[in-house]
Amino acid sequence: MNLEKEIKVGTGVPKAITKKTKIRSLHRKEAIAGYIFALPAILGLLLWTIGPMIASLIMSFTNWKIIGASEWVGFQNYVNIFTNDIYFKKSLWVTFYFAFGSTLFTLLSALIVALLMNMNVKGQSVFRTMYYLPVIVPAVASNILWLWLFNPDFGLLNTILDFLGLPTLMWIYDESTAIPSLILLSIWSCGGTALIFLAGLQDVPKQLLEAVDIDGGNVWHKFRYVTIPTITPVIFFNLIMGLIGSFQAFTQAYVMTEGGPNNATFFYVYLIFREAFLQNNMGYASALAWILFIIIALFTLFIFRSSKDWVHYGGAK
Amino acid sequence: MVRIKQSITIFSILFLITSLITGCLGGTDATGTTKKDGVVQLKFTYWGGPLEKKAIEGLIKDFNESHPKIQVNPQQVQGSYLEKMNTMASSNTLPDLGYFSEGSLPTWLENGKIKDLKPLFESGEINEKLDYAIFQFDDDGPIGGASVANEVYNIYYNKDLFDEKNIPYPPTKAEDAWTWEEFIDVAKKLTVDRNGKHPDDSGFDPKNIKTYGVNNFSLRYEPYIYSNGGGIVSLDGKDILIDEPETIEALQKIADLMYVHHVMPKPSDLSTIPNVDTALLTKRVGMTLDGQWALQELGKAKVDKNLNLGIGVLPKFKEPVTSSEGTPIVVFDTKNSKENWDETKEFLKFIMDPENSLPLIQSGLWMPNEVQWYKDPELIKKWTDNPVHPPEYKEAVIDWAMNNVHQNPNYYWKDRSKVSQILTPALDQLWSGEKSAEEVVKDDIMPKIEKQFGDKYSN
Amino acid sequence: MKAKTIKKNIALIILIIGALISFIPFFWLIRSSLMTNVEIFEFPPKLLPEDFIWSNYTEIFSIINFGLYVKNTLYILIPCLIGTVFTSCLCGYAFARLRFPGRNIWFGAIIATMMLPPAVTLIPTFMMWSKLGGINTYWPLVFPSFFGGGGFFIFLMRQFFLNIPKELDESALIDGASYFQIFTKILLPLVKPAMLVIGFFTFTNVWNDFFGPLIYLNDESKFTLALGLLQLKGSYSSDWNLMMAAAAVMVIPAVLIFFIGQRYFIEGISLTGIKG
Repeated sequence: MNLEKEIKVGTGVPKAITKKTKIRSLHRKEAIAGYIFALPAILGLLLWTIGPMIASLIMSFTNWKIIGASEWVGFQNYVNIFTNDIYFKKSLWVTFYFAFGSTLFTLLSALIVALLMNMNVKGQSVFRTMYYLPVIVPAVASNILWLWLFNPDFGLLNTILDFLGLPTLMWIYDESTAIPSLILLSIWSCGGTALIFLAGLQDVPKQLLEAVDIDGGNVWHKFRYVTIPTITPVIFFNLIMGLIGSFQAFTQAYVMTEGGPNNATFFYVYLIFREAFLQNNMGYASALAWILFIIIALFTLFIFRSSKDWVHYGGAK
Repeated sequence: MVRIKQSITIFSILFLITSLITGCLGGTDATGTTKKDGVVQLKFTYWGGPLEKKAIEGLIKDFNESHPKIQVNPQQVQGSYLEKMNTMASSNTLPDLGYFSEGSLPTWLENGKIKDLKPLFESGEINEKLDYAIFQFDDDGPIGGASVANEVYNIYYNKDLFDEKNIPYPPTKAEDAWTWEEFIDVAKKLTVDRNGKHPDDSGFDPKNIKTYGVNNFSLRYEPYIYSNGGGIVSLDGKDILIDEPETIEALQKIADLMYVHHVMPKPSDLSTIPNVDTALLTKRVGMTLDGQWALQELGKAKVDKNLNLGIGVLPKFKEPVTSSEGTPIVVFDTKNSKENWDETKEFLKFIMDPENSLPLIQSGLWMPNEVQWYKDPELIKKWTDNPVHPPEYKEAVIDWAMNNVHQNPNYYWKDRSKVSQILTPALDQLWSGEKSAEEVVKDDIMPKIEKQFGDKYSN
Repeated sequence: MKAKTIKKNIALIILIIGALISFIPFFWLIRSSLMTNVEIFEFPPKLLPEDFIWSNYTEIFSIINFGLYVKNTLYILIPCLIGTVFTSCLCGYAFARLRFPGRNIWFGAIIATMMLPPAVTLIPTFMMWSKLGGINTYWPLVFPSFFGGGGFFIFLMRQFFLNIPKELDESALIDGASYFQIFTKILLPLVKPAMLVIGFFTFTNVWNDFFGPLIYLNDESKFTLALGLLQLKGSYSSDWNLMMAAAAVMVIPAVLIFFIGQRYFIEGISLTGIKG
C-alpha cells in the first residue's frame, strides 16, 4: 500500500509510469501465485466447509431419509426438537456439563502441571514425556482401558480407593458420577494442554518477576500480576479449543456408556449420530447439528468479546 | 508463469500418484455382486460372537461346496449393524441377504428395501415354519421373513451350587413352574454377601454381594408381564397394554428383586458380572435368565470346563409363559438379488432349513424353526443327542417352546420399535430404582405414547 | 536460597505423584492383559497375575487380523501424510508470504473452520460420498487431506513461514527467482522441522481416528486398527484380558512413534498456543 502511494506522488514523470506498470505486473504476478499456492486451502474451504454447511442447512428443513422419500418440511424439525424430542434437552444439559467441567478441570490441572514443571525441576523432559503419554493413546484404546479401570469390583480405581480405606464409587455406572468420571478421563490426558502452557510460561519476562521481588512481592503476587497476565493469550487459546473439543464428545458415549446410565452421558453428537445413522433421519439430524453449531458459535463469540477485558497481548509481540 | 505451471504439474502428478494408490487399494467395491465364470456371487451379512462366526462360515462353506454355481460371501458386521445397513442402503451396497434387526423390519419392508417373501412362503417351496416365528405386520400383509432359528427364554444354572446349598433344582415342566414367592425364596438362599450372609440376615451388605441369586430378569421382563396377564400390546396390535395393572405389578415385582430382595444385580452392578459361562462357573450368579442361544457358550463350558449345567422353566405369576425371539433372515431388494432370484432363493431355503443349519443347532446356538423338529422323536434326537444339551432339555426347552410361548410383538407390531424407544429409557429409571413402576408407566411412558401416536391407541 | 530448594523439592514430589497417576493405568493395562479371564474377575483384585499368560497375546493375534488392519491403516495414513504435509506447505507459504487480494478474509475463514463442529458438515459430506460411490472405500478418509489438511495445520505452517527472515526470499526475488523456486529451493528446506511436526500430528490423527472409518467403512477386510479393536469389544465383551492385550498392541506403535518424534511433537505443541 505504502509503495503504491509513493508511486502515485510521482505520477507525470514518464520513467515512473513504466516503473508503476512494472510494479503492478509484479503485484499481479504475486497475487496469481498467491492464489495458486493457496488454492488447496481455498478449494477445501468451499468444498468441505461452506458447501456442506449450506447443504446441511437446506437438509435441516427437509425430512431427508436414507430409506424412503424426502420432502420440504419447513421449520418442523426445529419445532420437533424443541417440543417433542425426548433426548434433546437432556443431551444438551449433559453436553454442557461435560464441556464446562472437563475444560475447567483440564485447564486447571494442566496449568498446575505446567507451573510445577516451569520451576526448573530435575528431569523436566522425563516429566514432559510421562504427562504427554496419555495423549498419544488412541481414543478407542484409552476408552476401552478406562472402561475396565472404572469397573466397580475389578477395576483399578476402586481397588485404590479400597486400599486407601475410602468408600468405593460406581463411576460411569451411576447417573450422578458418570460425567465426573468422564471428566477424570479428560484430566488424565491434560498433558497436551500442559505443554502449551509450559511454552507460554517460558515467555514470562524474567525482569518483571525480579521487579516484583524487589518491590517485596511474594509468590502469589508474581503469579497474579505477572504470570497470569502474560499467559492470558494461552489461556484463551486453550479455553476456546477445549470447549469446542469437548462440546463434540462422542467416543466416550459410543465406546463406553452407550449414552447411559439413564441417558446420563447422552452427548449431543452421539444424539446426532444416532438420529442420522440409526434412525436414518438425516434431515432431523442436520437440524440438530445446526443447533449445536449456533450454540458453539455464540459461546465462541461471547468468549472472544469478553477476551478484550482479560486477554493481554503483551508488548513482547 | 512457466514456473507456476511447473508447480501445478508437480502438484497434480503427486496428487494423481496418491489417488492411484488409494484408488487401487480402496476403490474396489467388495459388494460381492460381480459374476465370475458364470458363478453367481451373493453377499450375506450377519452379526454374532466368535462361535457364531465360525458356525456361519462353516454353513456357508457347505453351501458353496454343494452349489458350485453359487458363491456366497459372508460378512460379519459387529457392533452397529443397523447403522451399517443404513450406510450401505445410502450407497446402494446392501448385501443380498442377511440377518436383520426386527425393529426396523416394518419400515424397510414398506419402503421396498426388503423383499416381500409372502409369495415364496405361500408357494410351498419353503418348509412350513413355526407360526409364531414369521414376521408379518398386517393381516395377510407382506412377510419380511421368518426367524432363521427359534429362541425361547429359560433359567440356566449351575447344579453344583444348588447341591452345595441343598436346594432342589428349578422345575423342568411348565406345570410345575415355581410361583414367584417360591422363586424369591430360592433366590434368597442362593444370594450371599462377602461375609457369608443372606439377604434376610441382619447385617447383610447389599453393596458387597458375592453370589447373586438371579440375573437378567430386568433385561428380559416380557415373559412375566404376559404371565401376569398384562402385556405390551394386544395380539391384534390395536391396544396398548403397558398401563394395565397386571403389567405394572409384574414390572414392579421384577424391580423388587433388586431393591427389596437384593437377589439380583442392579444395572450399575452389571459391569461386575462376567460372561454368562464364567458367571455360572465362578458362582457369581446362581440362576440366569437367558435365551436358548446361551446354550452355545454354556454348553461349551459344560464340555470344556465341567460346568454342571442345568436348565429350568421360568417362574410364573399366573400362567407359566415364555416368549420367543429369533433373528429374521431377509432378502434385500438389490439388483443382484433380483437378477439372480433363483440362486438367492436357493441359499435362503438352504439356510432356513434346520437340516442344513444342524451344526448351529447342535452347538446350542439355534433351535429349529420348524414344528416337526419339536414333535418327531427321531428329529429331536438328531439335534439334542449330544453333550451340549442336558437331559432335561426335552421338557424344559422343547415342550416349553411348543406349548408356552406368548408371541413377541416383534413379529406382528409395526410400532414396536418406536414404542421401545420410549419404553427402554423410561424403564431404565425403574431398573435403576429411581421411580416405581406405577410412576414410570403413568407419568412417563403413557404421556409420551399419547404424544407420539395421538389417539391411535387411546380407547 | 534454601527455601527455593525446598520449594523445588515439593514441586518435584507433586510432579512425581502426578506422573505416577498418569502412568498407573498403563500398568493396569499390562497387568490385566497377562491374566486368565477367571483371574481377572477374582475379588479382591490381585496386583499381579499369578502366572504371566503371554499366550493372551498370541491368542489376540489369532483372533484379530492385526496385519490386515495395520496394512489398511497405512493405506490411509501414507496418502494422508503426503497430502497434508505437501498442501499445508503450499498454503502456509501463500498465507505467510504472498500478498493477494482477499488473503486475510480467506485466512480468517479457514481459521474459523477450526471452530466449526464437524457434525454440521458430516451429514452432507456423507451423502455426497455415498452418491459418488465412496462408501466402503478409503477416498472419504484420504481425499480431504489434499486441501491443506485443515485450519490447524495451515495456521501452524504459516507460523513457521513467518519466522523465516523475509530478506531471504526478497533478495531471491530481486535476483529473478520465481515464487515456485523461492518456495522449493529456499523456504522448503527451512520448514523441514514444521513438515515433521505436521507429519507426526497427521500420524496420530489417522492412527486414532475412528469416527471416519466407523461411518465410511463397512467391510471388515477394510477396517482400520481402531475399528478392529472396537469389533473385538463387540465380540469379547467380558474377556477383559484379551481386550487389554489388544489395546496394548494398539498403543505400542503410537508410543513408539511418539518417542521417535518427541522433539517435533513438543515443538509443534509449544508453537500452537503462543500466538493464538
